Amino acid sequence: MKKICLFLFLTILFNTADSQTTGNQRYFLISESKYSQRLNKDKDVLFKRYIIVPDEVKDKNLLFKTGNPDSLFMGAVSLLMNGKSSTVQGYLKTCNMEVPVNHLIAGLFHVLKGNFQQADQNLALYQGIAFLFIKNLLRADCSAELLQGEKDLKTIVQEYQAALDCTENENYRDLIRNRIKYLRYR
Amino acid sequence: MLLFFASALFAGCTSTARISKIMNSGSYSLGYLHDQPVAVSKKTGKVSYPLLSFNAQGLPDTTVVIKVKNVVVPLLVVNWWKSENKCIQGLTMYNEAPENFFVSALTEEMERSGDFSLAEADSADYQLHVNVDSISTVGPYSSSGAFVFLLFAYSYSYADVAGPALSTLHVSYQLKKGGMQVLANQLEFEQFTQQINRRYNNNKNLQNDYAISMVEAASFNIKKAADQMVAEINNFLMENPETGFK
Repeated sequence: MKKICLFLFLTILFNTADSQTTGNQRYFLISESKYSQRLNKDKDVLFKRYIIVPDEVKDKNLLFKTGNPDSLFMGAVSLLMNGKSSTVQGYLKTCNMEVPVNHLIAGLFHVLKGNFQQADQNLALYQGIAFLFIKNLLRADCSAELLQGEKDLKTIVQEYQAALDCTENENYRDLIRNRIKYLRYR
Repeated sequence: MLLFFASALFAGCTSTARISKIMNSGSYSLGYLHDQPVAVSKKTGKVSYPLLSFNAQGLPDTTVVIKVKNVVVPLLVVNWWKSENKCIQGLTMYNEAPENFFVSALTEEMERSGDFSLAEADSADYQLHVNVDSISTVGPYSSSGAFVFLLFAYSYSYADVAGPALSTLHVSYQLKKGGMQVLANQLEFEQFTQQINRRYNNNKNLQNDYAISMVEAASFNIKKAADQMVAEINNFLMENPETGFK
């Protein structure tokens, strides 16, 4: 009995430790439709920082099938949403970084891993307009993380302002407002 | 046992001094997001940067907590208490001077959604004089609890409730051209603090969040004031092209 208890205790201890050190639970990828569902069901969208992306792509291998930059990003998003971050990591090691959207993929990957400095460097290099909102949102998130000691919320608000100004989608705009609320109360 | 009884009774009761200490311990930003559409094109004329007169009436230097009511019903077996306090937001709750923030927020809004350009007062077509007549945020904080003592068992419970507080802002402005007033209005804004859906393990966090929500409510009012002033100036200039810009 003692051995079983000890085994269970150690299992819980190591599982907990592992879940704290791997993965970044600060940001969560969510598709537009799922985010709307959460809003409709009045679920918490304030203290969970979502990164909203266009609706999920069903084909998880899209990343390796297409040369279309928009589809490349959606393919990476699909893999990340399905917990295949190692596949995306492998892709980033071999892909051509002269393709601008790969910097966006790298930026998203590093935000989810909690490497905000690296993420911001990658995001700055994405000059496309197709995913401008996501780029600006992620860059503002990086600033919020890197300036955590800043007492003045105004600096960070200006970063989120850029994201808010590049979308008319009310759900996206609410997401930005919630980020500011989160930062006030964190 | 008597000592335990007394400590349980008083531990649950949050003192005004303790609330005041926590609510004065932090300062928070009034910063907010501008969400009015950006003006596509600016007319050639110029409105001056806002010339502000700030009256901090209703805003004490530090946050003040006043005991309004205190009731204790000691019936030995069942004991019940309730205290009600009034919290008046002080200047120390802001991490920037509200007058400076007001000017910068209004200036940013004018640059953003104003159909006009900005200039120094002496070179502008219009001078904008703004008076912040009063700014205040006041709200309740109540603390209640009960202690039931039986021979072989006891039970106690206590709960603190903060808010909602009401933030008010009274602003008046005059738009002048060559010393003549061409547009004026008095604006009043009210905003209740918003409750955050969060479970509090201790009252300190509740009081901190209450202080933040008070600053947030004041920030909402400043935003509404800036948005409305710019919208009214835009309307005036559109409806009065003869008085407006050439």
